[in-house]
Formats: sequence, C-alpha cells, structure tokens
Amino acid sequence: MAHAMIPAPAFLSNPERFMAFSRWAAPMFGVIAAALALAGLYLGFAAPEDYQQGDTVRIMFIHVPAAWMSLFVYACLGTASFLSLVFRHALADAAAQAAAPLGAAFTALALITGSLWGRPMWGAWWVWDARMTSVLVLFLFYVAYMALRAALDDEAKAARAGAILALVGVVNLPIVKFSVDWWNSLHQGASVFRADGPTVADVFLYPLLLMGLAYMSAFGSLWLVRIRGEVWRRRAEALALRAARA
Amino acid sequence: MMLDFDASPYGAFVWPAFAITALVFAGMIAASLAHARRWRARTETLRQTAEAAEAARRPTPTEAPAP
Repeated sequence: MAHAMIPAPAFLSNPERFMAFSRWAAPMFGVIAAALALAGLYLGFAAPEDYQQGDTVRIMFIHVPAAWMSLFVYACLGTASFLSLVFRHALADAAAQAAAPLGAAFTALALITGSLWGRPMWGAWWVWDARMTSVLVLFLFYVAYMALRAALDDEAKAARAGAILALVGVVNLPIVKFSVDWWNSLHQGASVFRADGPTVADVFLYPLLLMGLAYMSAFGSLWLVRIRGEVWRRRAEALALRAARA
Repeated sequence: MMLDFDASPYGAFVWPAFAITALVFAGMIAASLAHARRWRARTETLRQTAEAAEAARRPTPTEAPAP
C-alpha cells in the first residue's frame, strides 16, 4: 500500500494538528509578509532609476515576484494534487483547492504588471513571446482547474478530476522556466537564480529578493487561511448531510 | 536614503502597476478571510443544531426506565 511506503507529511495527515498549527502560523506569516513588503518597497523606491529602463524598473519589484509565485504556487498545487491522488487524503485535496485561486491571482498580476512594463519598454502591451504565452497557458490551467472543480458536485470525483488536470499542467512549468532558453524571446534569461550568481546590481537585487520573500510569506498566510476555510466547509457539509439523514 | 516617487515620464505605467497589485492583494486577503469566516460560522451553527437535536432525542430523567 502506498500509505505504508510513503509517509505523508505529518501536518497533512492530521487535520486537527493542521488546524492548531495554522491558527498561529497564518497570522505570523501575514505579519512577516507585511514587514518584508515594507522593507522591500522602501529599498525599491530608494533605488536609483535604471540607466535603460528608467523608473519602470520599479515595476520589476512587483512583477518578478508575482511571476515567481505563479510557478511556485502551481508547484504546490501539483504536489498537493499528487498527494491527494496517491493518499486520497482530504487535507491534501483541500490544500490543492485552496492554492488555485491564489495562484491564478499571482499569475494574473504577473501578466498585467508585465504588460504595463512592456508597453513603454518594448512598445507593445502584448507579444506572443514564448515566456508570455506559456504564462498565459499557466493562467488558463488555473482557471480550468477551478472551473472543473466548480462543475462537479461529487466532491470525490471533483478531487480526482482536478488532481489529474493539475498534474497535466505541471508539464507547463519547465516550459515557462526554460522558454527563454529554448526559443527566441524578448525576455532575458535568468538573472537572479543562476549557478554563477545573480547578474543584477545589489541596489536592485535586495528589494527584489525582499519583495519575493514578502510574496512568499503572503502566499503562506493566505494558503493556510484558505485551507482552514476548506476544512470548515467540508465539516459543514458533513454536518448538514448527517442532519438531513437524521 | 531618499525615496524617489517621481516616476515621470513613466508614471502612467508605474503607478497603475502598483495600484493593481495592491487591489489584487486586498482582494485575495478579503476573499480568503471571508471564505474562512463564512464556513467557520456555518460549521458552528450546524454543530449547535446537531447538539440540540441530539439532546432532544436523549431521554429525560423522568422518561428513563426504572432500574
């Protein structure tokens, strides 16, 4: 049995323990996110204009972390879906369901803020560039996942169908990441997470990293809040069903 | 360090980007908290209803059979 071979993370295996943990962890991550965002915005607006991008470089401090989160949240959605499919654990499915709207919001932010940067720098709101197109596909996977879940009344069937769709979408993650290497693209290659170190000047790198950590903490906080909401929703539906049968 | 809020000539692109980001974050926070609070309240209501129904089904001391 898969249950015996692969131990699920402890917090995923016990809803009561998860609820106790998330009760204090969600607000803690929220406070950390606010502090990091304040520090990142301060350094971001204290940074000089870029010699090529001018003041539009400040859009990078909110655009790039949104793009990182669009991939990271989908990786979380894929992992939770895999655990849900293998372990049939309700909390893993709740985690997947809770991640989708947040991931869609981060992806939409990446697309919109990227467009607002692209218009003055590239002279176009949108181009069918490999990176932008693959991120649009990522957004559509989030929307399709949510639509599929909403369309099926049977919770177990919705969980299974959603998990399979989410796992299919995982194929798109390396395409987004390596699209700038595989095809000609207006986007530059990786400039922060590189084997030989970042190529971004420190004065831009530090606010960018702080904002990245702020987005990550904000996601951590909101994800926990949404999973708690999902746990309560499922408890409410179980209680309503029991009352209807009594 | 001096803060530079003069985004000209790109203010029409920089400020909407920050405003939309703030709006989306506000929306994510409000929606997540509202979702959790709504279902928590619903769960509590249903639990209390179930407990009340259970208490009503339980035999009262006067109705209990004599030993």
